[in-house]
Amino acid sequence: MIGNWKLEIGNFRLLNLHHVNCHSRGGGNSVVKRVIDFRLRGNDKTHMQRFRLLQTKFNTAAFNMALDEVLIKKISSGEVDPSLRFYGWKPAAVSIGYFQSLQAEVDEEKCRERGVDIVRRQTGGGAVFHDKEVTYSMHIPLTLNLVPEKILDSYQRICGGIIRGLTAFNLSAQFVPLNDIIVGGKKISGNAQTRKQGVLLQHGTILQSVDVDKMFDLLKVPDEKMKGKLITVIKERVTSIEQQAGKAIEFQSIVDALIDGFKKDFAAVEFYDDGLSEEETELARKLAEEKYAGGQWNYQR
Amino acid sequence: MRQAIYKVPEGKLLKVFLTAEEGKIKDVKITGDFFMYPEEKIVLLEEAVKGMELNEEALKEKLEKIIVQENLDLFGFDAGSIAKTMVMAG
Repeated sequence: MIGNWKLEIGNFRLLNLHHVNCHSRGGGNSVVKRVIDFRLRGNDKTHMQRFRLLQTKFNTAAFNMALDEVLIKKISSGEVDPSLRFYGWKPAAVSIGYFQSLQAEVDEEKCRERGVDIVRRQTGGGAVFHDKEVTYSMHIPLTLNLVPEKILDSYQRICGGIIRGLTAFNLSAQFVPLNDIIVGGKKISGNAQTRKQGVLLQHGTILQSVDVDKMFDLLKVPDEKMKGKLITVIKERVTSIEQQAGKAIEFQSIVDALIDGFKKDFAAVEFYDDGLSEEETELARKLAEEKYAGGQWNYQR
Repeated sequence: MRQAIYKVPEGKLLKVFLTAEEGKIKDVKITGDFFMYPEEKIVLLEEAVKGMELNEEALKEKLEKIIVQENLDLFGFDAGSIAKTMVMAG
């Protein structure tokens, strides 16, 4: 297992070579092969950093959040390439921000009745109801210098991929600091970021359709008497791809559009289709059960 | 624990849970939909004010000191808004 490498190629640049995949799975390279690749490319300054493109379909909230954590570890140690993952939630779930109080934010009884999962994220931000949406997680080693070091700027850089992707549906979206993407003044995507072990994890949701009533049925609000009014306000401030397009749009069409958006916006990255290894799946399952599915972690604040 | 909610102007929603005894903070949790890096260090802010009186200015000063010392990055709230919410909850 080899971590981050900095190689000097020729006399003109430093190259960050992250990831050396010893198992050589799904396009993994050895150090030697990589060095030869660079030599062959000669003075080509646009070294293609390879990212796994993962589509893990629909999983439980605990598994989804556990997998994000497993991938931070694996990428940090250099065992696997950085990745961009797209996924959904089954069953639907409420995730809360790292700093939120579960009891203050979520109506646990309603969630149980409706069969909705509850999970605390590693990232800050607010409570999110994950239902008809596409979710992504991007894991980027900071040593790659692929995104700005400043947190606000890095949010914007990564959201650029989503904004580009939404153009496939003729949507003109904008980034609004710190962590939102809006269309026509209404929020269509929320994003959250953490940095751990030298890896930046940004995950976020892109709304396929939105049901504000259903969402507020599961969340607690500071003042119950104001709930109705709050729902009206939120309905005016949130939108979705289907609402904007005025027709039904498949989950997979959104994923495909977003992949295309990220490929264009991160032109220096070579995204390759990949799947989770058995070990990764097993580690995520174990971590989901031990940490994210209940108890101490979810109720810690 | 008593609770206070404060919407930071142009910022996020702070919810502070606080237990006070004889005007001093016994226990406190700073929660909300804000961002802070590194996340785990939020407990340092909570620990730092334990035993302190519910004086907004003194709390703000103490929190600011920890934020600088620990090189914390806060988004959507700051030492002043935490101190204010703590006093509201007290």
